[in-house]
Amino acid sequence: MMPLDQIEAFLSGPYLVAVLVALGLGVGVLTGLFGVGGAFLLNPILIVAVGIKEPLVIGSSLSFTIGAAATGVARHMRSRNVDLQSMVIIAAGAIPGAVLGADMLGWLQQGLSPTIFKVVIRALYCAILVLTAWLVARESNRKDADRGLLQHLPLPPHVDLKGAGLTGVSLPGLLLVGLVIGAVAGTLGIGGGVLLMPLLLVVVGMTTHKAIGTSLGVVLLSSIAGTAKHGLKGNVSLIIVLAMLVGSSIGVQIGAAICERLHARKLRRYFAAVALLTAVMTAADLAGILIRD
Amino acid sequence: LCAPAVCTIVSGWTAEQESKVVLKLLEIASYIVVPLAWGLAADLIFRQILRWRYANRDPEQQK
Repeated sequence: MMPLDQIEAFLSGPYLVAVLVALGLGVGVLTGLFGVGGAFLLNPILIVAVGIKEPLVIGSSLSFTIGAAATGVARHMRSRNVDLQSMVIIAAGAIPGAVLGADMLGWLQQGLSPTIFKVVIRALYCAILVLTAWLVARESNRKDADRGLLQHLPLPPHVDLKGAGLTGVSLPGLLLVGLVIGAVAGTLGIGGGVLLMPLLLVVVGMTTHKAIGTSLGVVLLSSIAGTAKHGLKGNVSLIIVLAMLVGSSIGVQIGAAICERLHARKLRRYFAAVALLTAVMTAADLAGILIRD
Repeated sequence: LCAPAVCTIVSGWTAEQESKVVLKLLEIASYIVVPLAWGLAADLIFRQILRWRYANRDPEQQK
């Protein structure tokens, strides 16, 4: 296991551990509240504000997501917010997608200069977050009982998702959603929940609370695949992972408790605001790179 | 215990190569199993705390 003093960062020793615990707490609240792993927010903070190297951040945050998502899935399962059938189908597409995405990241790294690579990754990140915020904000006027796009898709076979209360959902469509999520997640080194939650709402047609619980389940499975891939390259530090998990274990409980009390419409608006805020943060970092280089 | 099993699958490997592979596999497994066990244990502990708090509530409040 990589010792604490070998982790390159702006802080060291107990200060670094304290900051990681606090970050874990904050991200844990988001995990319980919105069904996202939190890597989309955690990665930029760990790289820009804490100064940890990018490969170690990506691998460690994926391993951390396993723990945070496991707590969240267990909590949401008791509230019957996880549809196991759609979770397994989407994960079946997401896991090969994540492996493909990690390979795509390698090709981009080899084919582009370091500065252009950074610009491309951050621009992609920004685009995904703005799309997410727009999809969710657009959904604020939608009633939970409305049908999703996959129920209209004429691509057989069609399946009934009893746990989600949906009938006639296109199976290849569901697998394709998983593949796209996995490819994006693998390329950006995130769990993919930030994009999956809105897709489950708009494309699959799930209710907000079911989309949150099911998205967490898929994030858990795809993070396991991503961690194995990054762990093979030695890009995971269990000290970083455990320090963040101490905070997130408490944060997830707080987030899931708030989620159960909040109205679906309010949940969607808050989610859109968090995604937009992260997009602005990433855009500021992108502007900094463009000005410097 | 693991090394002979790996040896029968991948014949031609030296004992050093085998132990390296086994150690790497154990290392990767720890990156998955440790956070997973932590997450599930944390949920179990919180559930017990909530049950305990509910059981010790004033009967008037429980109504």
